[in-house]
Parts: sequence; structure tokens; C-alpha cells
Amino acid sequence: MIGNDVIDLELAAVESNWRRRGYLDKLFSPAEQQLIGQAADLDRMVWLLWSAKEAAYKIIHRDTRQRVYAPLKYEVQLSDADTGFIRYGDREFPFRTVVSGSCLHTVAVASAHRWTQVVYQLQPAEALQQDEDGVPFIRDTGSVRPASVSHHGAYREVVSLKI
Amino acid sequence: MDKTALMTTIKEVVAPYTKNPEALATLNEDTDFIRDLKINSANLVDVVLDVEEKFNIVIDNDSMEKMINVRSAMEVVENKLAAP
Repeated sequence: MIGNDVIDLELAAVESNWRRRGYLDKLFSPAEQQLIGQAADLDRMVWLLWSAKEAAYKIIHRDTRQRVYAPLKYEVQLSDADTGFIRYGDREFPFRTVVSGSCLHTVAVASAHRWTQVVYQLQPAEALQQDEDGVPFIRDTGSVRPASVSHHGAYREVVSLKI
Repeated sequence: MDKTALMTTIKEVVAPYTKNPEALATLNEDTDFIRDLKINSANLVDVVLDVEEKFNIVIDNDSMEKMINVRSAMEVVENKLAAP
């Protein structure tokens, strides 16, 4: 399965004051806050970690259909600057982040073998649909493919799996 | 605190983060912070922090989990005010 999250870094800078008292403690573990503290670009690290949690949440939501605001249950670990994995209970989701200008886009998959199945962007003939829980999918000549949609500020990203 | 006053205060708290003024105008217990008010998920934590400050309570993680609509936010505040 798949989840994504896009953040418009310019909008985030005016919309969210992550430096306010208590903010980081409600979203990030001590280890994650240490990553933020050590980062060359603090804002970029805050939003990278947050987008990874959001992307993983979308995978979990597709499975459980439960809407829960529990960011601390998602623990992000970095492998290098823009990749890593998100731990949720005993599950582990690899993610990749791409930053282009002020667009930060993270994609997470349920397991690493899915990377070759990821389709970026909606293809010309594809129609995006949602089920009754608001979970997106693409109907593709008879088969139903899981998809994930995210928009923030100037950006909108759609990813799907071609299984 | 009666329910009307509680809801009014919650409406004041969410107003600056709301991107859908129509849904804010008709806010009720069923109003969903994300789906109806279009509050960004990164701003939901601001709602939680503002509610803590407004009511002088501490919202633990288990309570925060549920705070995705007006009804659950009201329940969390009522429970915290009842159990000091």
C-alpha cells in the first residue's frame, strides 16, 4: 500500500509556528527532536519528518479506516538526508522525500518491494475516485489501484501503485 | 461551563486555522476539523495547544488522538475540567 504527503514550504512558514511552546513535544519523539536540532535547515527537517508521519498515516488509515490524530505513534528514522522509514507498532514503512523549490513531497510504501510499482502523477486516462471513507483509488481497465492524494498551498501530488 | 459556552470557545479557537468560513459559520457538534473546516493537520496541534491554554488543562496523547471534531474536543475538555 501507499501514502503520500506534500508540503508547500513557503505556506508552512507562515501557517505553522513550530517554534511555539509545546508544539514539537506533541508531534515528535525526543529522537526526532534531536534530528531537528542537529539539522542544517531546521524547517526542512520539521516538515520532512512530519510529511513522513502523514504518509504512513495514510497507509494505516487505508487498512484500519480509523481516523486518529496520534503523531507520536509514528517514529521516523532517517537512512540518509531524504530517505528512511517510519515505524508504527511492529510495522515499518520505507519513505522517500523529494524537495523541489518550496515543494516537499514524501511517499511511503508498505514494504520496499513496492517501490517499483509506484506511479507518480495521474496518467492521462486515469480517473481518481474515493471510497466511502475518502480513501482514494484509481479504476484502471477493470482493476482497482490504491492511490494517495495530497495538496497543500500551490502543490498537489497524486501517487498510485501498479500491482 | 455549559455546552453552548464551551462550543463558542472551541469555535473561537479553531477560527484562525479554518479554511472554510461557511462550515465555521454553521459549526455544530458534528463539525469535523479536517473534513469540514479544512484545518491543516499540522495546525491541529495548534488547536490542541490553544485549547490547553484557553481552559488551563493538559491534553495527554490519548485524548489528543480523538480530537478530530467538535464533539470529541468538547468531551476532552469536559473530562479534563471534571477530573483535576
